[in-house]
Formats: sequence, C-alpha cells, structure tokens
Amino acid sequence: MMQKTIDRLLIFLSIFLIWELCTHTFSILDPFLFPSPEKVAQLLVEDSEVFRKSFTSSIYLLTSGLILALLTAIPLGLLVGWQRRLHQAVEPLTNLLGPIPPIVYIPYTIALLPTFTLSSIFVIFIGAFWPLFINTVAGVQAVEKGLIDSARTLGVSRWTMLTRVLLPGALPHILSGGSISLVLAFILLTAAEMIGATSGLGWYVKYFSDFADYPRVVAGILVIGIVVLLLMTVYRQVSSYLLRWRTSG
Amino acid sequence: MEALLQLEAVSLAYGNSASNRLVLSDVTVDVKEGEFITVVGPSGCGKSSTIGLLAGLLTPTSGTIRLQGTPITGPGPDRAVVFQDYSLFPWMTALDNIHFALQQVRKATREEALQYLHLVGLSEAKEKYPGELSGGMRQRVAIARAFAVDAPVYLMDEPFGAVDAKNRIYLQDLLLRLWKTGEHSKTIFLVTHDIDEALYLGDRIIIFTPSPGRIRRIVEVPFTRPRTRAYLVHDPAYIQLRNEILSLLQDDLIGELELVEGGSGI
Repeated sequence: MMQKTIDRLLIFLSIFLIWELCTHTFSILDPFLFPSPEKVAQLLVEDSEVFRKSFTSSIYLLTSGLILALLTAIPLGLLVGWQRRLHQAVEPLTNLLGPIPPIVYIPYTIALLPTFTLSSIFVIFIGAFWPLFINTVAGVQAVEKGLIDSARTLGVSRWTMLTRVLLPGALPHILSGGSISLVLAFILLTAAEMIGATSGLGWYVKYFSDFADYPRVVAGILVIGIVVLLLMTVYRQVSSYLLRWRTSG
Repeated sequence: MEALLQLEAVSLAYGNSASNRLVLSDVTVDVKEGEFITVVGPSGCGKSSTIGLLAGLLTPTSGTIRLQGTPITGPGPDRAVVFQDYSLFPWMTALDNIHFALQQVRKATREEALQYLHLVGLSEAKEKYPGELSGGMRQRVAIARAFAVDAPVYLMDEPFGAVDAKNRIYLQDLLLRLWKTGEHSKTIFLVTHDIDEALYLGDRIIIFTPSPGRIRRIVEVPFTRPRTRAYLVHDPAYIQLRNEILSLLQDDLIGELELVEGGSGI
C-alpha cells in the first residue's frame, strides 16, 4: 500500500521534473508553445474565476444531458429488456442508430435547435443515451431467471417487477453503461463548446488557442483533466455504494 | 374430506411441436390439507418441474392442477415457494427480503418482518445482504420469508440441497417446527434427492421414475411424530423402508442404463 503511493508520487515528480527542466531550467522547448509549470500554475490562480464560471457552465450542460438520458434510457431499457416482442421489434433500429458517432449530430442540431445550449444538451443526451439504453437492456436480460421466478411466486405487480427486481438486478450493467455515457458525454460537451459556445471549459481552450495563448490552452487542458478525474471518482464512489450488496463476504 | 391439492393426469412437455421432450407423464395425486409430502426421484425426473407447475410458473401440457378446487393459472400468494438458490434478492438485506415479500400480500412494518427473522434465529443478521450470509443462513431467511407470507401451501425445491449436513439437520427440524406452528394448518410439498430427508420429514413419499417422470409409487411413512433421528436409524422398519425406496430408485436407474446400452448396440 505504502509502496504504491511512493511509486505514484515518483511518476508524478519525474514528469514534473522533466517538464521543468525542458522549459524553465534549460529552455530546450520553444517557450511560445511549451509553458513552464510555474507559468501554468500562475495562470490557474489568475484565471480561477474564469475557470469557476466555465466549470459551472459546462456542468450545467453535462448534467442536463445526462439526466435526460437517465430518465429516458433506463425506463425504456427496462421495458425493452423485459418485453421480448418489443425487443425484437426495436433491435434493428438500435443496431442502426446506436453505433452512429454522436459527434456527427453537432452541426445538424445547431441548425435544428434554436439555441446553442439546447443543441449541446441534445447532443450530450444522444451520446449518453445509447450506452445506457443498450446496457440496461442487456442487464435486464442477464437477471437470473430464478430471481424472476422467485418474484413471480411472491405475486409482485408489473410495476414492482420493473422497479424492485429488474432495475436493481440490471444495475451492475446499467452502471457500467453509465460510465461509458459519462465519458462520452464529456467528450461531446467539450467538442460542442469548442464549436459554438461562449463559455465553458471547451470554449476556454478553443478561445485562447485562437489567440495563440498556449500557456492558457495548457492550463485549460489540465483543468479539464482534473474535472474528468473528479467526476469519475465521484461516479465510482456512487457506483460502489449502489452495488454494496455485491461485495460477498 | 376433499383434497387440498389435486393433480389430475398432469403431463408436461418442453419445446415446440417439432421437438418436444416429455418431462412429466400422467401424474395423478391428491394432497390432503396439512399433509407433508416429500418427493424423491432420480435427477431429471421432473421433480423440480412439478414444483414449477404447482407454483404456477409452468403450465401443464395436459391435465389439471387444482388448489381448493380451483385450477391453478399462475403464481399466487396462496403458495409460498423456497428454491435451492435464488429465492432471496441479493440487493435486499435479510430483513428487507422478508419485508418485501410481506408487503406483496398485505401492509406490513419492518418490525413484523423482524419477528420472522427472529423465528429462524437470525435477528442479528437483519442488515446483512444474502451475499454476506452462509448457504445455510440464506435458506433460513428464505424459509422465514415463506412462512411470513403465511400461505396454506409451501412448495420447496431441494431447499437443503446446497447446505452442509449439520445445517441440514437444523433446517429440517426448524421446518417441522414451523409446519406445526401458526393458526392455519400448512401443507408442504418438498422435493429432495435425499431418501433420509424424505423419510424423516414426510407423511407420504412420492417416488418418481426417470424421465419422463411418472409416479412410481406413493409410500406412506408409518412413523409417529415427533420422530427422533437417533431412534429411527436403528428401527428395523425404517431400515427396511429405506432399502425398499432405494432399490426402487436403483431398479429404475439400472433399467435406464440397460436401455441406453441396448440402444448403442453393445
């Protein structure tokens, strides 16, 4: 445990050291394209208010799209996974629409929807929808038949079957689909922001690269990395809490 | 007195018309109210399918099954089922599993559910998930859940099949105790592959032939209750009955083996 921490610190330190040596100390790399760690750190502080605003704006788009996806993909996935006939009916459609890279929707939705906010939310929603939907369907189908029989012998209603048996039974699959959705949603968010936004983390990077302000670009990329890391950490915590029953003793 | 459960010429086949496999053939038996029926037979004889039919999870291909005179058309709260595995929902705690089952039949508090957990001596494990319990403990919770529902009929599909010998004895005695407690008389239909278990628990033993399952014989178990294991195993009548059932099962297996050998041309 201790060894692991030391190893990780060493990796971070050596990368930082190489960065520092190549930029600030020996100026091996072009300072115009490669800012020193000090410069980046200074910008992180200097622009902290801009970053805070960008973060808020990005999180708003991200959560709106994700919540929309959660509210539609999971109920639909439960129904489609449960009803064999429905599943057979929609499977070709899923196979056609599912694999379309959601990024290609961006120009079209910008033309289609009145505001940039709406079109980014829509693209994030589409991107997050499919992994969640497909995994919910698979999750329902993976629920042990014995558990479904057990529920049937208790005389559960359809609603109870869906919410108290199939939903928790499919949860391991749903959550692994959800982590794909989260990553995809973030990619789409930043892509959309780089195309048409006037705020947000993706906008920050794109905006300053237009001015060739590469120190700010690097700082922005770093912030995005940290935000994704934080989101994924929170997601993992929530997942393992929801699946706490799976830790068999 | 009219029988509580009536199976009348029940047959069950799996698959479609092109390729169907007969699992049960022409099973007819009447079960009286309050009776403890045990079922033994070689594996694949349709013992478990019988439970599925009685539970209403399967529909007979021909014949009828009646409970209190009414044909069984699906699962219902008048029959509680205990399976060998997968009775409990792994995402609910022991207490929640019982509470959930109770709520399907009536409004119930968690305190009420706890009483049933207490009945099987597991009140301290109420917040544990099934994955954190041993196989024996899981079956205790499953039995508690079944008795919480307070159904007139209990269907058990090898409930102690995956439990070690010591726990099995404990669970058998627990089951006998619960069978006789409560206001209503309870009828139990228990499938097992253990002849001693069938003899120790049952009023009557239904012996099945290998697939397709037919009733080979129904044996009355003459021993008075409460039965004592230590006493039974030394009773010549017990040993004789046990051997008789054993040889019935073995005859069928040998018959089946010869059939296969004959078919292969040896």
